[in-house]
Amino acid sequence: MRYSHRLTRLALLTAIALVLFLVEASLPRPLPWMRLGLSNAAVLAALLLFGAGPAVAVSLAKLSLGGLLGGGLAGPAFVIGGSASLASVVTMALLHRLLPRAFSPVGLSVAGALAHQSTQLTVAAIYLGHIALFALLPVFLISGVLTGLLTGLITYFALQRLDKIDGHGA
Amino acid sequence: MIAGNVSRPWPEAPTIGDVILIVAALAAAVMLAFGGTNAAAPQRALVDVDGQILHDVALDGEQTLVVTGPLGTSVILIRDGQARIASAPCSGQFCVARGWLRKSGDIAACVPNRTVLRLTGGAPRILDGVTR
Repeated sequence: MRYSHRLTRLALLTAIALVLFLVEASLPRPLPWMRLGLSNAAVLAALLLFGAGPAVAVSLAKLSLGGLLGGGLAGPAFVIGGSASLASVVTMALLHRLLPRAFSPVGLSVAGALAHQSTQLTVAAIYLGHIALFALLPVFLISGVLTGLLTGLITYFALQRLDKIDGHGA
Repeated sequence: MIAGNVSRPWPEAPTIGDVILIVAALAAAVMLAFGGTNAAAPQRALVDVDGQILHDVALDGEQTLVVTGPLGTSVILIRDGQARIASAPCSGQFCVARGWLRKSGDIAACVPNRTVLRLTGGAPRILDGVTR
C-alpha cells in the first residue's frame, strides 16, 4: 500500500474515532463513567487494517484531540479514561499479535472493553483511595461485554462495507 | 476485489475464543456479585449513630426505627430479613438510594447524619464499648 494511501486512511480513522468520541461525550448517560465506547470501533479497524502501532497512534490522537476539544484535558476523568483506552488498545493488539486466529473482531472488541473497564476501575480506585469501588466490578464487566459486542459488530460490518467499496484495505 | 472472496488475516466468524472470553467474563461477574464469603443469611441489623450502636435488632420481624443524628432523624425499615434506610435528612441521599440490604456484611452509610446501617450474621452483638 502506498504511504500516502495509508496516511489518509489512518487520518480518516482518527477523524472517525474523534467524532464518535465527542458525540458520545455529549450524549446523556446513566452514570458519568458509562459510555458505549463507539470510538473503539475506529481503533479496532486501525489495528486490523494497519497493525498495532497505528492503532495506538489513532487511540492517542483521539484522546489528546478529544481532551482538547471536549475540555477536561489532564483532569482526573481524562487520566482515568485515557489509561483505560490505552489498556484497551494494548490488550487488543497483544491478543491479535499473539493469538491471531483465536478471536474475531467481536472477540477482540470485547477483550478491549473488558480491559478498559477493569483499568478504569483500578485507576479510579487509586485516585480516590477507595478500594470499595471494586464492588462495582461485576457491573463494569457485564457492561463491558455488552458494549464490546456492540462496537465489535460495528467494526465487523464497517470492514465488510469497506471491502465492497474498494477491496480489502487496498 | 469481490466482497466475500477477501481472505483476511483474522477470523471472520465468531470463534471458540470469542465464546470462551464472553462466558468467562460473565461468569466472573456473576461469581463476584453473588459469591463471596457472605453466603450465610444475615441475622441482625445494627444501627450506629456517631459510632455508637443504638439498635441491634433481629431481622425476622417487621419494624421501623427512627434515629436522630446531627442533621435530624433518619428512618430505617426492617422487613422480610432485609433492612434499608428509608429516609434521611442528608442532601446526597446515597444511603437511601442504596436500597434494601440483603447480605451479611452489607452496609448503608449516611456520613452527613453519622448514621450507619449494617447487617451481620450470628448472635446479638450489643457491645459495651466501641474502639475507633
